[in-house]
Amino acid sequence: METGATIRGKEEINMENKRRFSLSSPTMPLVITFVLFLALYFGFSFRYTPMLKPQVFYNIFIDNATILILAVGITYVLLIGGIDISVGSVVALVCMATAYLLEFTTLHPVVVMILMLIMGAVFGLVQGTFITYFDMQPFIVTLAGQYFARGMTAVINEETIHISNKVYQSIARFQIKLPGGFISPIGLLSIIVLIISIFVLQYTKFGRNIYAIGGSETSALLMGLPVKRTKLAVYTLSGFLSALAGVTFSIYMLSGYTLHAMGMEMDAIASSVIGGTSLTGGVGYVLGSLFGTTIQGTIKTIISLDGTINSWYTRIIVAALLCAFIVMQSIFTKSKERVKRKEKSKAKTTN
Amino acid sequence: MSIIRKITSRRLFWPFVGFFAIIVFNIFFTPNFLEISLNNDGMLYGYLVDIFNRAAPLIILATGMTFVIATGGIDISVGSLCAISAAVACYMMGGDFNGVLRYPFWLALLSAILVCTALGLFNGFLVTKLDIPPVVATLILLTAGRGIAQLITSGQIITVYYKPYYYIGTNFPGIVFPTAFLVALVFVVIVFLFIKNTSLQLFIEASGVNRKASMFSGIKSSNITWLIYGFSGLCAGISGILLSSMIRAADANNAGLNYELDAILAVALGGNSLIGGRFSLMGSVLGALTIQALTTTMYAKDVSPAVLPVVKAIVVIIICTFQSETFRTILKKAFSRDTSLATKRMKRTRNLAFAGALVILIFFVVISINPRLNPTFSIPERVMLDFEEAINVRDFDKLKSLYHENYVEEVNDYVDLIAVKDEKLMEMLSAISDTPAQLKITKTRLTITGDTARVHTNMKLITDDENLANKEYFYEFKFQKSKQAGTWKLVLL
Repeated sequence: METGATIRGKEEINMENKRRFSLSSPTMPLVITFVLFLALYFGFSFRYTPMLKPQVFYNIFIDNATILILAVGITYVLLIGGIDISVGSVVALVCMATAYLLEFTTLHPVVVMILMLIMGAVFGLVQGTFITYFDMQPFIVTLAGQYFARGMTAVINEETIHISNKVYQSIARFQIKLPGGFISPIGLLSIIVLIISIFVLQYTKFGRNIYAIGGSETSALLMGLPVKRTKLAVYTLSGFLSALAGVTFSIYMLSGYTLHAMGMEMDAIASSVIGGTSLTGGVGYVLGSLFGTTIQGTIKTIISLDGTINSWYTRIIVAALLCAFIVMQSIFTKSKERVKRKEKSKAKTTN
Repeated sequence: MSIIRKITSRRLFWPFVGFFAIIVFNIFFTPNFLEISLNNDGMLYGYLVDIFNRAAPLIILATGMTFVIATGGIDISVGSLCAISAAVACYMMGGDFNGVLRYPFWLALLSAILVCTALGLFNGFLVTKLDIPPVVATLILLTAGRGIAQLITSGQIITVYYKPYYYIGTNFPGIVFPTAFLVALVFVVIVFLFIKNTSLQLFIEASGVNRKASMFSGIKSSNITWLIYGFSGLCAGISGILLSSMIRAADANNAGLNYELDAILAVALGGNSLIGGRFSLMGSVLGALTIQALTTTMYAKDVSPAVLPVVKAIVVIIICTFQSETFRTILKKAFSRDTSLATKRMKRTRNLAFAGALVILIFFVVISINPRLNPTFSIPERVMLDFEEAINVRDFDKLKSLYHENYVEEVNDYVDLIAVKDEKLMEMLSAISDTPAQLKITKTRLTITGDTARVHTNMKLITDDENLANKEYFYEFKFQKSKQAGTWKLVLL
């Protein structure tokens, strides 16, 4: 019996080595997404020549800073096998609350920003408590959170409030010079968030715990990892990051409105999934969400440069990509399972 | 004691209590709540009828959702499928002013339903054959659905002028009951009889509780689940047609918006577990009625429609918390008479929880006392012109109910007033400025409080006069339900 087990172990290690370069390795979707992005961008830049200008490329980061930050937050949640669809509404709530506080009170903008970040974190914390400590489905809880946030936005004010605050206006207008163009502070911020997240997920205890929990919650629990605390932290982080995204969006839009960021949670989830994050948890890289976002940004750029294509194609193309990647993931996991089953039956016969 | 326990332990007891609590509240606090009268089209009219009529699309949707949730899944694409169904139906009928159809009426309805069923089957395929988690699989159509609907209607709101289509949203001549209500009734009865007379309920529950075990006992659970998703699509198709005929148009952006939460909420309110397994169809129907009763109550009390999602979200969370096993154990421990150390800590937690709940309650009381918390915008008024105009308010109640559903596109359909508006405005403008000016409307907003409606229109002037151009102006029109006159007000900032 014991020898059988060790033999099987060795075989598995062999298979693992072989599989590192095969299609079902977790880095593969990342590579596919990257290649797809390059092909999409440079393929279409022959037809739409403005895309060869560096500024058009930078604009993708400026225009999609909010989605990128949201996608990073969503990636954490997806990695532990959860989902958070409240993020878009939190962005709207933060925009509206910011606009309200800036226009009708005398609070300093920095104080407002800090308040918003705290609000987002508390929002995430409450959702996380319901999910982890009461064992409620993340989808239901965050769906309720989505309604709550969107409703509260309308409770604050149903009409558009424009932000005329000097500090916000100057941040929105500020340009950071880059070769061939410029990038806005929010674009830079989103990239900083991304880099920090890459570090956190790959090199810290917290990050490795997330991967372990996403792989198998039961095993993580048996290993003695703080499962509940980590999950709670992840949902809080997601709330915090969506508030941060909300702050960037309020700088980008300079207004608060009930219908801001409608369906943005879907864009963020799509970015993350197209970037190779598995929706069942445990597999994926936060870097992928960057490419997921830039692919969406490229599609938007192409549509706006063309001018004749219906803007609704963005959603449809993104959904088609989403579908393709999800199906691809499912086929990979199925083939993996088949390999495992074969190994098992082999081991049985050798026994 | 035992009789009470027997009654309270019935599955449908709590859903019934919820529904009747709202009805009883209304009987006491909403004037004319029980009043039912015939309107001009010979249809029953009143708050009670309104609840049953407007709940119809949701009841049908909740039927499909009940099955899906019973199999242990979820379908979040139903709202988008409603939009697709409406788009297909209205596209096939075409927006001809004289009511001439592009394709036959029955074909339009049938194809709308078939398209949605096919999309539902696509969801089912992803869930059962590719083993994709249901939330994720249906997320695809949730994202793409409204885009597809936009493509079908080519980005426009198609308004249908074909009479029989109106009848679906209202009533067929000679029948006093609203058509939507009858459709829902027939639909639920058929489905109910079907599951009672076949072993389908058993199969669904079995595959919801334990897929593998039911597979070993000879149930093809994956095929059943597949069909269930198709059925959910079918429900969304019918519901989309009902919804669009109520507004007589296909609005790809708003048709069935947020209906997925309402359907899930209906299932939860009906006492069904959201994890799957045993289900009660009648519970879901009651749940859908409860939601609509709640909605109608809030409209009757003139609570802003924007607050409604907040209330719904809180209700969902409360229900789910009480369904949670962990929470129930905590509750049991907190209220037990046992005074060991563990329960002492529990009691402290309980007191904390009570304090928290109190704070939240106070927060909402404050909000509800001061419902808007809106600042009053002070407007530097430079020029203001007022005048009164005779109008004909045709169907104020319809306008009001549509306003609450966020569906009003054209106030003209309900009030005869706009014909003279532009001329009058130009006249007023020429009184202020000598240079010729052109109006460009930027935003129109309708607000109804009680029996007073207010149409607020923002606009810009395209003119050479630099003092007037590049500034926002607005005009306002006010009218009341009973009075056959309204006042115009033009404000130039």
